[in-house]
Amino acid sequence: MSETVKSPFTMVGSEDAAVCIDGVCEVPSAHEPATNDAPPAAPPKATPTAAK
Amino acid sequence: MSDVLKVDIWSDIACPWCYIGKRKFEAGVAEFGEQVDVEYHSYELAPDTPEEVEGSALQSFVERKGIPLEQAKEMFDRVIGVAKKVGLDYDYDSLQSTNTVRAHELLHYAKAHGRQVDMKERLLRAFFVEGRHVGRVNDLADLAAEIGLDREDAVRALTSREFLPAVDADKALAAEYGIQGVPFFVIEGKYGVSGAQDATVFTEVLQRAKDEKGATV
Repeated sequence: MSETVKSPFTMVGSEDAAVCIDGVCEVPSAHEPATNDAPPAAPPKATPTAAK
Repeated sequence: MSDVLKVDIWSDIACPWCYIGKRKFEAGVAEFGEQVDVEYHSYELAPDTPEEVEGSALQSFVERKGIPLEQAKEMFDRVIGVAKKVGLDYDYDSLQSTNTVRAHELLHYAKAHGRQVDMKERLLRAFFVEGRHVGRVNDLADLAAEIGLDREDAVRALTSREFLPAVDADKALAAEYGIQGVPFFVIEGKYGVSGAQDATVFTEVLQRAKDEKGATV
């Protein structure tokens, strides 16, 4: 786990706005109340022959 | 000192809320009524993703989360619905997942040629709306050419990894700032806005920053 760093900025706006973290993008209650999950930003599954 | 407000934006390409947030930010700027100086910074949500990913985004999501297909489809539909509200027609059936590091390198290349904002829009549209691949050098060079950049020079820059250090520098800065998710907006180096906030949030913070800037000139 990475250490939490305090933001140097004055934060404004809603705390539950839609945001993507670690490849998963939440659907906040402001948009949809049913779930906190949403499509991944990029799924990790690779083809066996994939090369970077 | 310039009167134009500076906005730094950390975001990824493979980030549905980044594109939606971009539209909301643009609406906020339009309501603000003045030009702003936007600079995009690199943030990789899934740096371990390979360039080539097998299967659809939906399939991968189902396997990763271990949830029923129907439930996953509902989740996708929710994001698609939110995107549609801001005028974006996300097409997850055609979406080609990939590693986005080279797309970020292309954004830095475009910045060096004064076209970063156009390149960002082109990449996001290509990925979410058009089902284009945004990980391969040749596909990225095509997109660069489509906004008027030199295709062969883009290939050269991407192949030589000329802008990879710039991508890494952006990521390091994000870590230094404690940015843990995207999109993340920084207005005048002072105000932080996390996520795809309503347009009014952007309008208000831009106006506040402008008022403060005017008071200090």
